[in-house]
This record gives sequence, structure tokens and C-alpha cells, in this order.
Amino acid sequence: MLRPFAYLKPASLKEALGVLSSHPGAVPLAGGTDLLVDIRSGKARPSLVVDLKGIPALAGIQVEDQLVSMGALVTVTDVLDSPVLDQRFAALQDAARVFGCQEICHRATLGGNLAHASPGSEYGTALAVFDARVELAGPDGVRILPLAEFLVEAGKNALQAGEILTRILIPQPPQGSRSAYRRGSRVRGMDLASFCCAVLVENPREVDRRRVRVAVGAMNPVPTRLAAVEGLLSGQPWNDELMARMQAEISRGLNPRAGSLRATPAYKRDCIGVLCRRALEDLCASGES
Amino acid sequence: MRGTTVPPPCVLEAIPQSTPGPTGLVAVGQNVRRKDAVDKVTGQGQFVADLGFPGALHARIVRSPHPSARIVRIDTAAALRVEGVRSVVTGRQCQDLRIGICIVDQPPLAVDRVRFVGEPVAGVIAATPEAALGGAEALVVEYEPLPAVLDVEEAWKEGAALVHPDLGSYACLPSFCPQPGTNRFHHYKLRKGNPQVGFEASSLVVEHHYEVPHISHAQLEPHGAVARWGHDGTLTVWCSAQSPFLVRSMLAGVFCVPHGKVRVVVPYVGGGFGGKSDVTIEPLVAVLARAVVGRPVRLILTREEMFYGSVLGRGMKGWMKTGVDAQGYLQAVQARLLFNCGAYGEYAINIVVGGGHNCTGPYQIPHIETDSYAVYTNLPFVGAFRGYGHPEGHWMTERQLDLIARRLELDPVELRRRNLLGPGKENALGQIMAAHNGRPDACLDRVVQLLDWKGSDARGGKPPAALAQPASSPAPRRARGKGVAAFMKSPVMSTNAASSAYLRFNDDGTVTLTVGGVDIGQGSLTVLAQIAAEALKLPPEAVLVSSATDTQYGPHDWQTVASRTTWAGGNAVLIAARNAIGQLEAIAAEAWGVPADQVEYVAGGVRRTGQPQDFIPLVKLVLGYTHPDGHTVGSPVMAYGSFVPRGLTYPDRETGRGNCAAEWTFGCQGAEVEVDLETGEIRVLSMVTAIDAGTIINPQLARGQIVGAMAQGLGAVLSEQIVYDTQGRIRNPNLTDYKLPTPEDFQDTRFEASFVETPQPDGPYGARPLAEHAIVCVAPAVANALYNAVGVDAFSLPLTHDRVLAALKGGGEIA
Repeated sequence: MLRPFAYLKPASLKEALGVLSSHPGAVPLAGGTDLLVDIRSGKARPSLVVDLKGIPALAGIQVEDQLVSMGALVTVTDVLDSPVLDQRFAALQDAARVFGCQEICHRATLGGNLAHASPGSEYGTALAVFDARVELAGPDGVRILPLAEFLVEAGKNALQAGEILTRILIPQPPQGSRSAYRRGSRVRGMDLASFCCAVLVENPREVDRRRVRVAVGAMNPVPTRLAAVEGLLSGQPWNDELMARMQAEISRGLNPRAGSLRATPAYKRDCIGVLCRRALEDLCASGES
Repeated sequence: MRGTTVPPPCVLEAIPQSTPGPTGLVAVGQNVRRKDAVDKVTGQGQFVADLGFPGALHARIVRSPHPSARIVRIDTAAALRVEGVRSVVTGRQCQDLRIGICIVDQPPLAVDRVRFVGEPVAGVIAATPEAALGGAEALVVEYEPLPAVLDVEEAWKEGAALVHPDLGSYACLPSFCPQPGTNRFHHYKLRKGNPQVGFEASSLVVEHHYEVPHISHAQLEPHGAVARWGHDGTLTVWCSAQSPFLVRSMLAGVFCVPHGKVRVVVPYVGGGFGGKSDVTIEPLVAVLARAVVGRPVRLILTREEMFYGSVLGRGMKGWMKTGVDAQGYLQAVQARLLFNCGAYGEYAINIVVGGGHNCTGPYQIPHIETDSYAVYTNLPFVGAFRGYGHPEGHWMTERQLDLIARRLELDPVELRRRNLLGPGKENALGQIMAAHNGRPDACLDRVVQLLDWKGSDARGGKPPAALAQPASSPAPRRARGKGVAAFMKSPVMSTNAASSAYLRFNDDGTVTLTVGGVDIGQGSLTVLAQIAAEALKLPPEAVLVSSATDTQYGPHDWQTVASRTTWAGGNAVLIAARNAIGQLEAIAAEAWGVPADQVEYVAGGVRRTGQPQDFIPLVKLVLGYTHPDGHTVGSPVMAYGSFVPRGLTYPDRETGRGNCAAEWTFGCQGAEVEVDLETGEIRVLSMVTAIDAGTIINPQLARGQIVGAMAQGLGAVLSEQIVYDTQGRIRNPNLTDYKLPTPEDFQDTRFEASFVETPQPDGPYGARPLAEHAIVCVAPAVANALYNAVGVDAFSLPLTHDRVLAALKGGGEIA
């Protein structure tokens, strides 16, 4: 059961920012798939819920020359159905396919998923390999942060009081790039990722110019790009030996927390490299490498 | 009504009679569409939470945060000040009330002491659910923590902290034996032959420890109840329950009210699986409603509350020792089963008995000694769960058999074949099997066929090292294996477990049946209609079974448990139908002025024997026959039927033996799995069941039961378990982290159900119970397949990815 709260649905960003700044107990609502669960359990007790879904500026996927700009209210279904996201963005659609049931995919938004700052966040991990940035609007104007600075720690983002996450900005990956997202989970259907990884490969067909980006989720308090693994895999021919090295080294520096109901730290360390290798293999198998 | 629409033709004329099949049966054996299909698919079906009650008040339960504590003080003042709160009820207001029949050990609200995290301490009644929640949050309860015991082995030992120090003072039925001063509230002993002799005759003895965790039924529909006390002392309860008459009996007993003044109404039920049998939240809601006489009080559990506010399932630590001779014939079994029953005993005490009865499986074994203990712990209490003690015992037996087959270098199928029960053989209880009890051997053969099991499969169980390939070829990433397991299940029920049915003809010759059993999703509305239709030579469409069960209007039924509704309820329906036929024949005979033995009931009416032109259609008989001059003979046809199994006795206290199972259902299950060697994930490629369930009344519904049981069983094998923290709190009381299997897990799984149909002489048209059975051996079949694939031996559940991978990487055991 939901505890009582007041509800407002402003029609503009300005109005929403005004309301949020003037009500200390107010929280913004996007898809609500996390917030409503928290209200129901008593973990969140807002006096005012500000529904952002009436704000046009927070919607839609826009493709520009250098940038793909995704509104914070873009839903998981929108990502899956988008005609403008080509093969390069496959990781975002991979994540959408395992995100949850249809109802959740229709409601849940990318902005909400990022703002919730879960260590195993699907889009925190998938967007990390795109070097995504986030646009935050507040009473004092707009600021743009790299994703890694937005995700501060488990359950904590960089939003300040009265600020709203408005858009996600993705630099266009080089033409021909390929990406993938994979997760480990306890069941194949509705589940949260026990651990996950995203990969993006630039110039997959040219070994010398091949650049690999790798991010993992639920291995650290926040999704993490793995520079050492990227260095290891970039510009090298992929063979069993290299993959074995990658698998041996990938979990160095990663500190999955103990006590998770989803997987033990040892299991995550054993399997994250397998997941990553399989993601890369799948990219090869699809004929592009 | 206006217009010239022609009224629809009578259903009896509109529906052509089917021709009998090879068995001579017409309605029985057909895939008649579910009677509740349209209601449920369109959302028209009404469940407890859908019912509207003008003036209803809402309850919220305040629950214990401690596994064991003394209640020092409850201050209700702040809660009562919350706007909308009407009343707060605590154990003080019902301190003399206790729930229980087998063992009377549970107060509806904790009195002075709490025994598990989640135990109801107070109920807040308010005008709205929000106000009730506000009141619950404002209630002040002060506790003084006491020592708690969570592990069943610890609890079982002498000297453990006592969950019930007053155990010796509790009333209980004479067939149970609580041990005061311990946490053992029942000890079921089964003694047959002399195990010492059996082990001496054995050339191989295998023993091992086993474990099954607590699991949740996770029914789609949460438990709910609405209770209203009348100013005239009547009590009406609408609830989601499998056992309306038991609920009535229990409530009447708890409140010392005549049974006739208690009315229990059960609308559609969204899943039971045992978790809505006996009583659940009804006494609690009735206690709350007593504080606001005249007003209905409504409590629908939240999804989270279902985990600690109703009952859990399973939870057993066991040990088994099996002796076998050099030819592979079982000689002796010794077993100890410690059931972790949680803080109260009423709901689990008979599981302990059922588990003890049949833990040795469907085999002839000359020497048996099993000790099955019901043990209190400071955890949420356990109740019936599909399988009722049998999955726990078979988990041990069917793993033991594979361990033995491996040591004897014998095909596990062949080992089972040599030992299976069959006609003339004696089961553990000392009952001699007859031919009509069924063909476990035929079930085994079917599974061999369905799994394409070859003798060579038996050599499986490659140890992980053997999977390594020559260095030149890439390491394999997956391995496949097959496993089998055989089961028997008999119901554990009261020796006078009755079912009954009212049957009345409507004016148009159609039939309305009222029964005391509940369709909890298993399809009894449809199956019972088919049985009546068969007996009355009517199309199944012409028989309607009332979908709500109401103790005020419906006839008595013990409980919708033990897979007994088709069997026992079907017998009652059959008796009622025969009774109705007798009435119809008597009316026709009187109309013709001939003796009753010169008329016969046929499809659509009654005719004079040998004179086919003399025929009276049903519509002219069902309200009595009216002659052309207007005078009437006979009167409306109303029939009843009731059934009680005959000859059942309580088990002997010392040997545990006796005629304590009314029937058996035998079966065999098989699994083929593929194991991901890098992640430990088990994919189930095939899951098959062959079952001798006697005559199948509705093949589609029967298959639904079998496949549903296998899927539910696979959840408990692969991903489901209740996880506790060190304080006895459930860490995953939600569907986020209590992992039910999903359609995606089974989208590539081949499920097969195969029926061997040895008729049951005392079953309706030869039917035998089948609803729970296909869950019994899912776990050992999968675990045997796991070993066959990768050489990992599992002794506890579930077989999660991380546990399998850890065993693959070292040890080779899931302990």
C-alpha cells in the first residue's frame, strides 16, 4: 500500500525546477519502477511527488552529427523500438531485452535507471562504454557531467537538491563500431543482474586499429570501465590465449561486496571474464570481426 | 422482453451426444474446456480481494521483529490517536484462545512471548488501509530478547533453547507424541524387520546427509480474509482457503460457537499448493473483527507478508543409510528426518508423518527403521506444500539409489527395476500391493523411452577432470547428462476424510452440482462435471459445478488437499448421480404404473425396458411427471452423495505401520540437463513424468497438473530458497530475490507427461490422485542428471549457478 503523498505534474522544466526547489520533501518521479517500490516499503517517504512525464524537454531520442541525445524519460521500450539506434548501439538494446517484464520496460526510463545508481544498473554499465555524459538542470542552470562522475556510489548520484537529470548525451561511436551487453542472473527471465558487462569495439575488422571498451556492473559500488582490460584487448588479435589472459586479469581491482543475495564475490570474479569473453565472441560470431 | 427472438433450444437438444470411446466412456477422457476459463481469462472471476463490503474496516498487523523475545509492554495510546483508527487488538484480548487440532500450540496474537520474526503481536483496525498502517507504525511494543534457535539440528538436541517451554501442557491428538522439555513436538517411528540383519546381509552400505531448504508457495493470489461478527453471535468469514469446512470447524472451536453459526465462504482461489490448507489467517482476522462487532474487517496480506504471515514449505535435514546385496536388492534402510517446522506445529505435524511413511520410496525393502521428527525452531512456521513430506524423503532415497548404482556399476534404471514394488510386494507400512495399485515398472519403462535412456547413459558421471580435452582442441563449455528417479505417494489424511455433493436437476434437464471441495486452480469444477455427466449420460456442458464454496449451503468436505478431490469428491458426485438416476427411474415407473425394475435410465430420459417407444425425456421428469390431465407424480429430483474411505487406521505408535494410506500413486521421472561448465548454470532440456494415475478424466487438465508440478519443482531445484540472516529474519521476502522460475527458463525445455492407466477400483471410473505427484522426484532426477553430466554430487538444494560452479572447481560435491 502506498503511504499518502501530494502529487504534481508540471508541464515545463522551469515549473518542475521551481516546485522541487521550494519543497524540501519533494522527489521527482520518472517511470516510478524504483520509487514506487521504495514508497510502498517505507524506504522513501516523500511529502510531494513531482511527476516529470509532462515535460516535453525530457523526452525523445535526437540524433545529431556528433551526438545522440536521449531524454531522461526515454523508456526501455523506446530504446528497443527506436529506428534511429543502429548496430553500434546494440548494447543498449541487449540491456532492454533483459531489463524486465513488458510492463516494467514500458514504464522504466533511462534517466531513472541512472539516477537510482544501482551498482548493477543496466544502463549505468551499458552507457559507460559509450562515454556518455549526463545533462543536469537546476535552479542555477545546466551542467554536464561524465557518467562516471554522476554515479558517485551505490545508491548515490551527483544530483544536488532541486536538480533534475534531463538528458543523456552520447558521442557518436565511430562508424562500424559494434557493442554488446551481457549479464549473469539467477533466472533467465525477470531478474536483476547479478553482475554484468558491456563491450564496445571500434574498427572491429582491423586488428591494428581495433579499440575495445569494457565496463562491468555489480562488481564495484558503481559501474566501472576497465582501462587495463581495454588496453589488453585493443590492437591485438583475439585468440584463446589473449582471452585467457583477459579472464585471468579482469577481476583485478574489482571488489564485489559480500553478502549479496544475487551472487557471491567469488562467483562474480569467476564469471565476469567469461561473460566478457562471450560478449566479444558473440560480436565476432555475428560476422563483423 | 420484447421482440420475436426464438428462445435458444434446450442445451440437451443443442449438444449432440458424443460416441463412446474404446473404454465405453463418453464424457470421461475428454478434453472438456475448463468451466472457469472465460471467467479467469476475462478477469470476471471474483477472488476475496475483489469482494465489496459496505462499511468494511481494514486491518494491519504489527509483527515481531525478534525471533524470540518476551513482550514487556504494548502501548496502544499513540496508535489509537491516529485518525481513522477504530481499535487495536493485542494478545491480551484473546489470551485464552489457541489454534490447533492435532497440537494446540498457537495463539492468534502473541501472548507475552514471540517465537519468530513476523509473528502477529497486534492488529490495528481502521477506516482505511492507510489509517491502519499509520496506527500500526505508531504502536509501541517493548521486547526483551530471549535466546533463539534457528538451526533444526541445534533445536533437536537436548538442552537447546526451548521454543515452547510449556509443550507438556498442550492438548494434542492421541496419535501424536510431543516430548516435553525438548523442541520435538512429534516423533514418528517406522519399524519393519530388523535393520541389523539387513545390513549384515548387505554387501554395500551407503550413507549420506541431505538437506532441503525452506521454500515459499508464492501463490499468485495473496492470502486474504474478511470476517464479520453479527450481533446475534454469528461469524461469517470470506477467505482464500483450501479447506472451508476445516476453517469453520477450527473457528467454531477457537471461539466456542456452534458450527452452524459460523459461515465460511470461499470464492475463486488463486493457487493453494498446500499453503492455503488447514487455517491460515482466518482466526487472526476473526479475533480482530470481534472488537468491532457488526463491521466486516478485511485483511489482504501483502506479497512480503505472505512469506512470514502464512506458512512456508519444506525445510528438512536428513540422514539415510541404505544396504544392498551384491545383486542389487535393497536389504535395509535407516533414516532420520529432522523437519524444521518453525515456531508452531499444527500445520507441519502430519507432514512429518507422511515424510516418514514413504521416505524409502517405491521399493520393497525388508528392514526399515526411520525416525521422523517434528522440530520447533524460532522461524516462520511451515505447512503443507505440494508433495507433503514426499519430496524430502525421495530426495534422499533417489540420490542414494544412484550412489549405489554407481558403486555396483549397475544401470540406475536396472537397479530401480529390481527393487520396485508391485503386486504381492509389501510396502514400508506393511500393506501388500495389489495389481490395481498400479505399475511402477511400466512408468519406469515409459521414462526410459521418453528420455531415450540407453544402458550406456548409466556409465555417465564423468568426473570434472575427465571432461578436459586434449590440449589441441578447445575446452568444452557444456556437458549433458540424464537422470531418473521413481516415486510413490500416498495421501496423509484423517481416517474419516469425507467428501460430499448435492446434485439437483434444473427445469430444463441440466444439472447443478454443489460440492464442499474447492477449485484452487486444479480444475475440479470441470472434472467433477465430467464425472457427473458420464454417470448421467449428459454432455459435460449440461453440468455446472458451483464455483464458490459456502459452508452454509454446500455439503461437507474434509479439505481440498492430498490430491483427493477427483478421487473422493468424484466418488461423492458419482454416488449422488446414481441416487438421482434412481429417483428419475422411480418417477417414470410410477408414471407408467410399472415396477421400477422395468424402466431404465438412458441418455436424455427414461425408457421402459424392452419397449423403446415408451420414453419420457428428462425435462418431463426432473420436477416430477405431470400426466396429460394435469395430475403429477413424483417431485423435483434432488440427490446427494457422500464418501469416506473405508478401513483406514491410525499408525501403530511403536512401529508406525498400519493401514494408513487409502491409495498409492506410482510414477517415475526423468531429466536431461545441460551444464554450463564455465558458469555452473543448469539448463533443463527435458523433464518427463510417467505416472499411473488410473483412468484420466481430462487429459489436458491432467497434463496441466503434471507439467505445472514439474515446473514448480524445477524452481525449487534451481533457484528458490528462503534465506535467513543470523537473527531469523527472511532476507528475501519478495519476488525480487525469492527467485521463482520464469517462462524464459523453460522456453527450450521439453515437458512430457505420460499416463499409465491402471484403474483404481474405488476411484470414480478408475481415477486415482495425480495433482501433487509430479513434484516429488524432480529434484533427485535433476541431481542425478547433474552427476551424469559433470560428476558433481548434490546433497542439498537449490542447485544454483554459484554452488554448481564451486563444486565443479573443487570437491565435486554440493554438501
